[in-house]
Amino acid sequence: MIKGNKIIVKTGEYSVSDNCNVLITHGLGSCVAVTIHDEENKIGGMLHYLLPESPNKEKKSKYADTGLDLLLARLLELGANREKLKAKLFGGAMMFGDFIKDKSKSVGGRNIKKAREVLGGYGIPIIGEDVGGNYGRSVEFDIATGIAKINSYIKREKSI
Amino acid sequence: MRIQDLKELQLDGIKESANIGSGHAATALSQMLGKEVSVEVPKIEIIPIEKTPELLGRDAGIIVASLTKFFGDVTGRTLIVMSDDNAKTLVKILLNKEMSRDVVIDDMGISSLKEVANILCSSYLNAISEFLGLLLLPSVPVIIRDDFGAIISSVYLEFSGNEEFVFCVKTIFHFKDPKKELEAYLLLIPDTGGLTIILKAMDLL
Repeated sequence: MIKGNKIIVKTGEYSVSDNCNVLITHGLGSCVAVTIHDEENKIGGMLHYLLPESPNKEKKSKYADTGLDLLLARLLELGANREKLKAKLFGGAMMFGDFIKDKSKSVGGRNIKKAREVLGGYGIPIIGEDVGGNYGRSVEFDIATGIAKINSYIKREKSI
Repeated sequence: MRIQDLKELQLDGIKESANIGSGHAATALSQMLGKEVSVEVPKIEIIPIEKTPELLGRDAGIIVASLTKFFGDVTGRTLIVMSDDNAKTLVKILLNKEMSRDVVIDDMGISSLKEVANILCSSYLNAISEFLGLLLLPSVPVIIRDDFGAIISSVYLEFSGNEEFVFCVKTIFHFKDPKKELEAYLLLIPDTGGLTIILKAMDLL
């Protein structure tokens, strides 16, 4: 059972919390959601970004590079222990494979790659992921337990 | 050209061509279904890319969509969107059979929806083509059933090449069925370069 409040993280936004709240995001297609969690201190955050790299400094949370910088900074501000942080990745689907000529350049794939690169640079391990495929997802991340529930219209609900 | 800089007169011109397209599409659809089909005046939406999940003005949830690519003088995409329930009712009308709410639309149903999407989209693009004197050729549609937010954000991210604002012409079709009113959205999503060509054809650039 979920005890905390539900916080909706909209497309292109992020949220952090040090209460046992649940961070929820809907409509992940080629977008990627990243959760970063300090289980011991029960501090967690979620970013739902659209694209890998920011060409300018506007709307930082739309992009993996600037958005993850922002997310990490806020978690540390809330008192998260950098050494304890663990990440999970969701989304990055290729919804319209039939229409994409060069599949290696699909936005979803580039989004996932960028998250791994940036998190690797921080030294934050990725302990779970549900990425790729050709379908949309929604994710509920429980800060109390660090468990993420993934829903889609094609697959059964799963938790990681 | 930046889409957020489009002027009123230019937007009206685009709206007018979409209006002609949707009028023809409604007629074609009405003849195919043997039902009255009415159409609302098209609306242009220019919104930040992260707001696309709100493009239909509410939380659309799970929908059935048909994506078509078009080629020729103008390139871009059209997306026809209807709620899962409305899609089922439409299949029922087309195939003349009962479908309960919890049944998933089968291959035959998908195929009939594809046909409707094809007719709607081809007549729409044809009329615009004639009006502008430009060639617009639609591809075979792809039907997808999923969350609207996931679909629409992916369409723009994958194909538009614009990372800030999105542009579309939104038209709502109403199908008069004795039991309930159905609606479908048609979104015309020209590539940014395509918009310039449309405006040039109308002497609005």
